[in-house]
Amino acid sequence: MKPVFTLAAILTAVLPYLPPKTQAGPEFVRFVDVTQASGVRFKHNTAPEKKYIVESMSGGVALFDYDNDGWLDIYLTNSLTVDTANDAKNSRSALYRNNRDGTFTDVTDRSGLGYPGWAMGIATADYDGDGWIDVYITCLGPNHLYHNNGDGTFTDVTQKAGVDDTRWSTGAAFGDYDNDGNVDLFVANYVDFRIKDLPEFGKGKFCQFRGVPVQCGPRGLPGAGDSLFHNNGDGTFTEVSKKAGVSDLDGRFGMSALWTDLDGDGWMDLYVANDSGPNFLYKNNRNGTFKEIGLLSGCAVGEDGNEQGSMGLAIGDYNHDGLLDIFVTNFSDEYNTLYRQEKGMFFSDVSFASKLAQVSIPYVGWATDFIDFDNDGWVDLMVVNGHVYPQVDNISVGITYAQRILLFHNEHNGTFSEVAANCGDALTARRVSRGAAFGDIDNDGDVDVVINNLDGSPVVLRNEGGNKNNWINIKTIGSKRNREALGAQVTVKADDLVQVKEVYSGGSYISQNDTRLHFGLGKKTKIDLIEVRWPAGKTEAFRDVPVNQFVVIQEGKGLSKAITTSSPQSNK
Amino acid sequence: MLSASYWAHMWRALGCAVLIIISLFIANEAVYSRQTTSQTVQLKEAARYLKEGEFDKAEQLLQTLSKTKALPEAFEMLGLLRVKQQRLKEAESFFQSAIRLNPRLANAYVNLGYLYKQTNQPELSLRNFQTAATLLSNNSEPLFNIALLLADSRQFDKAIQVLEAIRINARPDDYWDLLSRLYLSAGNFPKAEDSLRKVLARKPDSISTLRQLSGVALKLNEPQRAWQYLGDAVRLAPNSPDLLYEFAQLSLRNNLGQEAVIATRKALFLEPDRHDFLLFLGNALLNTASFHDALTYLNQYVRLKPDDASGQLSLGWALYLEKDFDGARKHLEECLRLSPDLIDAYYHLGMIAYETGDRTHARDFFTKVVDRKSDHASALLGLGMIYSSEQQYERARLSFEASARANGDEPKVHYQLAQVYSRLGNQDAARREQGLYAGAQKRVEERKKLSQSLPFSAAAIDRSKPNQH
Repeated sequence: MKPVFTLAAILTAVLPYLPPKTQAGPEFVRFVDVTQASGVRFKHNTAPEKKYIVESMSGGVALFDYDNDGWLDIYLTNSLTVDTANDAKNSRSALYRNNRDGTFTDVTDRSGLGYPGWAMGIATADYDGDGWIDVYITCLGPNHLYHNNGDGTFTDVTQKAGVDDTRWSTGAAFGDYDNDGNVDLFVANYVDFRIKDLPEFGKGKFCQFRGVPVQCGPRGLPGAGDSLFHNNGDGTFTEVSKKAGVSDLDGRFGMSALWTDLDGDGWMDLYVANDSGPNFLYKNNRNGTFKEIGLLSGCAVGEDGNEQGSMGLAIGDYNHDGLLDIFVTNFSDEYNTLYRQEKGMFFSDVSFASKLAQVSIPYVGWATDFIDFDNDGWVDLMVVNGHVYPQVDNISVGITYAQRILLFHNEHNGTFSEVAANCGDALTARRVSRGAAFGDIDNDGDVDVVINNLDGSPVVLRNEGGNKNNWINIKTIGSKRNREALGAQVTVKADDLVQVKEVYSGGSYISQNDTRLHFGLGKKTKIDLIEVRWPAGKTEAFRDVPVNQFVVIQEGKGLSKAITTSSPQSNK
Repeated sequence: MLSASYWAHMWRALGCAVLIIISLFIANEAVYSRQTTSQTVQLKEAARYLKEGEFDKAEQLLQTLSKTKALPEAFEMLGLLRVKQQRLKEAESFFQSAIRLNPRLANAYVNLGYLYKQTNQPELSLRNFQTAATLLSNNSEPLFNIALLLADSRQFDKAIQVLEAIRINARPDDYWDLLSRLYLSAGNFPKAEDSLRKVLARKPDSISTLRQLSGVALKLNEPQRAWQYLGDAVRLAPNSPDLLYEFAQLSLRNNLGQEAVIATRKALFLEPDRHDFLLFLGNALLNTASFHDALTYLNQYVRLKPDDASGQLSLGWALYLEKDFDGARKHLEECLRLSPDLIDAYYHLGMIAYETGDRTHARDFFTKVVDRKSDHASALLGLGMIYSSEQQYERARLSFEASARANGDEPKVHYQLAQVYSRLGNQDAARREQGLYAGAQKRVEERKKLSQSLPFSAAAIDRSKPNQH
């Protein structure tokens, strides 16, 4: 008997995707799709049927200032396919220079960053402390470290630096875990995947989704361990993952990583989001080794003890208690997880209590960040989504392949409201998104977003209206070779508004956010105190700082203005 | 375990016994050893009359023999004749006369044993079978009946002892079957399984034996083995809806939801009008996280049987899992209206409250469940999670520990206990619970692997049967 499709059934199937109209959230902020006007013409390529898992995971974004002009540039990774994997030239990743007028110029060819191979993600850092941001690109092996020559070009120094990893790498993050002043590099690896030994599409227990044949994995495929490269301070690194205890002997499916000092002891801990398995929280033992405490600290799995398929990662203090919390995006039928930190480095899964969980269930979440998109002084959350199986569109399960963005507004009481529908059509359009980077690309005082979409064009979303509230943007510069002061914790106090942020490399999903720290200030007109706890523990404080400005705080040298004018096109 | 039906079977055998004894009269020369040739011929003739239902002729001949010759065998046969005629008092009298004339006439004791059993005089019955057993050392029938009588008086161990005394070459066909039942009654499940396996060795295609073995395995708390026995039965009768349904139920018991779904789908295909299959299929689909599919069947069931509280409960739960909390509430409240004792509805309402951030109501609902059923593992877990979220770790610990006692195979509770112990500073206990959590998770994975070994596949549905959907 043929199935009978009724209008009601079809409507039921699409219901989860009708963005709920809500009265909550700021009405004055819109995210506007300015991709066309920006001149970003990149197109991400993969095989359309996604027969193999490796064709579903790519698409990183970096927002970083490669030419030190004070404006964020964009890098987008591209992928090969099983059929085109024989030649790295078959796929072109791209670097776009910010023209400071709302447009970008493709400078890929000159930069030498065009053909890293089957590229997944990106992390940036000035690993040699020369004042120029370098680039690490993760790939379906080998990865690449590109040294920024300071003249718009990059040199592949992977072999010389000793940071090659021939496995399938995903998220990477720089951070100085041993407080020696040099930024080290952690690389999460995903599946031990071999092009010459492909798992057969749809064959086997882990190659089905609700009875429909789909790509295999990651369950059922062997995992790949992770890598930690210690920076020797001379342009080279030493692989120390086993010695440090972060090599992932069980072969979990690593996705995203962040170095973060969760317990505030001045030593960077490491959080790793794993697909289809418990996430890791490596506590820094302060002697070059780590102890994995994810399960016992309550941030490894969902509150019901179920392992989740984690993809993206963000860390921030959403509830202003001074403790950093963890947010992880997950696979469909699960929920995105917010782990609220409590005293003693314990975490509670407050996803449902915070109202983040329920709406996220049909979505496969990827890139995310705690961003204060309306500058009200409380970090919100954005999540970009998109399923991994194109085949889901052929089954009526209430899930679609392309999925919209989720934007959660922080209600200042421990809960969030999903407000994407109120913030512009650009947020409700369906895409198959992966990486995204968050930062103020037009230097107008609010956070914009660049999203890399599988099989399509990226989206540049300009925040319009966020800067109606006050703000401050802080760039930290360390005194040692950790020039960006990765790991520095900055506290901004304005009257009763107290916010803490940390400088990160990596995170989101295989992407690199703006390392400048953006603080919304609501209607506060003066910052009473900015306190910087530099890596290794030294603290500096700055009082009575004016709002609505870009500042640079250099370790031991004080605070200075960075950029004082907005771009001509961003008068909002 | 020795049911009335077993005795009914035995008393149906009584008629047969009469015929057997008659046949003995006809065939066995030894029976007539103390009689003249003429008497023997006459007894054989009377036996033939009895066998052929010519009771008048038999009566006439036997009366003559009994009165003129006082032959005990003639009295015994008259007793048999009276049994046939349902004149049991006279039958008893004839058997007793036969015994008075020949106290070693074993068959008379056997017949009296059956007679007393039929007339509900077990003591007399037992005594006569016991006497017969001493006289008939090569015949298992008296011992078999003694065992049955002892079993009827719940003296299972003695009954087993009697049954096991029957020599190997004298054991009747249903010896192992009876022995397995006696072991079951005595609560000796391993021996019962051994006996049933002997029955199965003789009758490898016996579906009823496989079902019994499955039941015994369940008694032994071996649901996986029970599932395998029933899987063998399903292989023998793949188109038996009831067997498929039983198999599906056991599959679910083993957390093999996919097998439960396939088996129930097939059962429903074979018998589309079975409402219980619809409900079960919906529940099995819930177990496999196919909430959307489950809704189809559960909605169908509730439309057909709106007054069945269990259907309302399952539909409410399915809607909860689909995050349609309003719809879920409606059906769960209807369930409670129909059957206030279905406390799982309170639990589900508690979960809805929990997931919508209404901890107060969640606590109320979970407490209602625990007040009514103090070992409701899920509600205890839910209460623990509320206490934990309120940082009342000591209270949380108590709830989680109670939940773990009620269902130690649930990974979630060990995870929560690890969290709570860790927060309470008991790192050893936390690590122990972390280990239990890992072990329970592993078992979940193993069950998934086990589900690879399907006893049949969806494709094995007999397509020759008309599709009644």
